[in-house]
Amino acid sequence: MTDDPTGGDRSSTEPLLEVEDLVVEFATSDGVVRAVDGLSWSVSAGETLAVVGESGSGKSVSSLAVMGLLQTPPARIVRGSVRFRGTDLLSLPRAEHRRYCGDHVAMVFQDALAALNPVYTVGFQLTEALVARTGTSRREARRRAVELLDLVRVPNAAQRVRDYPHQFSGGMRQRVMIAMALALDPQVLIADEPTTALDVTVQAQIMTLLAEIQAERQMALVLITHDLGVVASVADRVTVMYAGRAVEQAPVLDAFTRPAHPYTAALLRSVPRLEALPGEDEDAELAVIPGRPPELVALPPGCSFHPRCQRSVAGCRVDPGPALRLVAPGRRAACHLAEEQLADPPVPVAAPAPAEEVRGG
Amino acid sequence: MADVLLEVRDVVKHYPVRRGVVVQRTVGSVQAVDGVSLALRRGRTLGLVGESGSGKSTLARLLVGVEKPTAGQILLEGTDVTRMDRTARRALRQKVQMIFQDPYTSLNPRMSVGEIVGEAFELHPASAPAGSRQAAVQELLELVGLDPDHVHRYPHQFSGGQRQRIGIARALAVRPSVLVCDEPVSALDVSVQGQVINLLRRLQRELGLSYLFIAHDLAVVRHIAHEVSVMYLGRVVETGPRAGVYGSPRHPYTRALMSAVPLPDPTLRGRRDEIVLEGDVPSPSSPPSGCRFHTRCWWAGRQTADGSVPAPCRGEDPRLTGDGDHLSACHFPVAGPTGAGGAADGLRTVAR
Repeated sequence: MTDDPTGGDRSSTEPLLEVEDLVVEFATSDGVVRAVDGLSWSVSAGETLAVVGESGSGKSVSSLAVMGLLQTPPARIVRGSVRFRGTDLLSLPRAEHRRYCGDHVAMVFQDALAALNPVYTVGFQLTEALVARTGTSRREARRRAVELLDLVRVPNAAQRVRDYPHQFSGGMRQRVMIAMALALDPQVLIADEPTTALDVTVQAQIMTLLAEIQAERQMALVLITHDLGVVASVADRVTVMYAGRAVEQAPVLDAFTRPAHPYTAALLRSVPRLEALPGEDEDAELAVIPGRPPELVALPPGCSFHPRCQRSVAGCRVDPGPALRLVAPGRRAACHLAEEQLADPPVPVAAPAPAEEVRGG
Repeated sequence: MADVLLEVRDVVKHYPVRRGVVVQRTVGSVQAVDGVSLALRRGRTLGLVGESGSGKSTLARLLVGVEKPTAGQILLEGTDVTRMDRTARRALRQKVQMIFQDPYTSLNPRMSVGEIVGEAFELHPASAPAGSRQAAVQELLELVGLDPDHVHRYPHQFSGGQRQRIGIARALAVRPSVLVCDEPVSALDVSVQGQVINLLRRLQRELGLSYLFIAHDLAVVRHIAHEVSVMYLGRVVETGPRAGVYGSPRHPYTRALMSAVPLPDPTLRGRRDEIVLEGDVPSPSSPPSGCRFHTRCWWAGRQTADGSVPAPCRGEDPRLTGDGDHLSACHFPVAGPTGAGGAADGLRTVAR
């Protein structure tokens, strides 16, 4: 966790990357869809921000906009800014935007096999990027490629640079992707569902690796995920998204123990848990969020979550919906009833594990 | 104790690995499933957990009769279905139905929901209703929580969770006694997963169904399974009642698997020990000698003074043993409960 008790209040930590009031629309056959609606977040050096949401929440679109990777059309950035150390990337010409990101902001995707070129060796793809971007000699770039694979703990790096992507396992491919992302010493790393396609024991390896590299380099890490377990174990702050909007922003500990938005609370109640909670009836029904996420083409009036919300009152159905506002120090929520939600008893957590004679290593 | 409805006895499935274009010769075999025994009891759920390469999906395919085992028996109500003729196997398929992982690719996009669900009646005429098929389909839709008036709609008009309900309705159309569910909720959003789990549990209560529930997600399995079997590289390494397997896992692999699940609880950060396994699952075409897990085992090295892997782990294939119905295949089973807070003693956290 960062030392910042306010959870990254802007006055106390200098943000490296700031997304502000971002609005992204897509032209679809059903009309214009607002995939991201007024999203703001920021991340500082050494900090991990998690952007959480279910499918269609818009969590990935904001990162593509940051990287200049949105296909326009059909996408259109209606308004907003993406500032890296004060420079608005969205105001730059596309090519310059991409180059700027290449130097400072890197991205790791979910599907490493699709992101790597199958007809070139991993070493070639790594050196190519280095030669093109840093102007070093091919020989020096090759040395650096091996170094990078070593860094992400690919065994026998010196031999494996000669292998093609299909010769790597899923976990090893994701390591290669991370090596590529680190090639130009980025200050910000955006990881979009980096472990979703991996087995759980491999996921643990990759998350450990990312956290170590981040701590070593004081990198800012933006982790885009649907997995609340991953958020709880690595992130400092969290932005919870629903139907294109940020509905809650808070330090992770606060959001998970005393959520300010009913959606966050409902999500935490409905996540299947490995451990039985104290007093839990294991044969009782799982708590669920009724209904399903709304279609972006036909959002309900007022708060998008109100049809599924247990707390909703008449005022929730009225436009304009609740704006994201400060509800406690360092915490924002987009809910008329955030104060009531905050007054709820905390989300039950498992009792702390006593010291065990059996310890893994 | 409920009676055993479906039993798998020492089932083996090897796929030959062939080389050569004109003259093919067999150079080895992928041992996808290698001597697995399971018992599914009436009205109960057996959770089958494992990572990729564990053989859990191959086992599902064997159970529904899409593949034939290389050796071993599959007994449905005491009859070995691997020795049945075609007609008898057809009857089996009616009794054992499958629900697939991906509700986006497992439904024909050109068929209406009514056609998808009603098609089952044509494949298994014995199960077709005497009266109106449409009425029967609508009844099924209602049973799985869908609007019966949507019978003429097409798959693309439904969300992922609703599509999975269509898949369940299709499976139920022929009145099966066993549902093989292969990762039925892993493609769904968290807020929808619980709905489908609750539906499956309700259907089990109402219809007395038995489930073989295959998943990689241990947390999901805990919410539905009565018994759990953990697979690694084609073998069952641990099996037992839910409380035993989750409360005091005996196989080091099960412990590692549980410790690797990130828990949605930031208060545990820094208080979980981690068991991060090294490396990847070895190839099932050349599994390690002795215990198949010994190449990645974190526990074996602690049994010797110098930290080396003990000889039995390297040389002897461990059998499933234990007291009562909680069994594990390990020469040095781990004892003791997991921590009061976690399902495993050492739970992963990333030191910051």
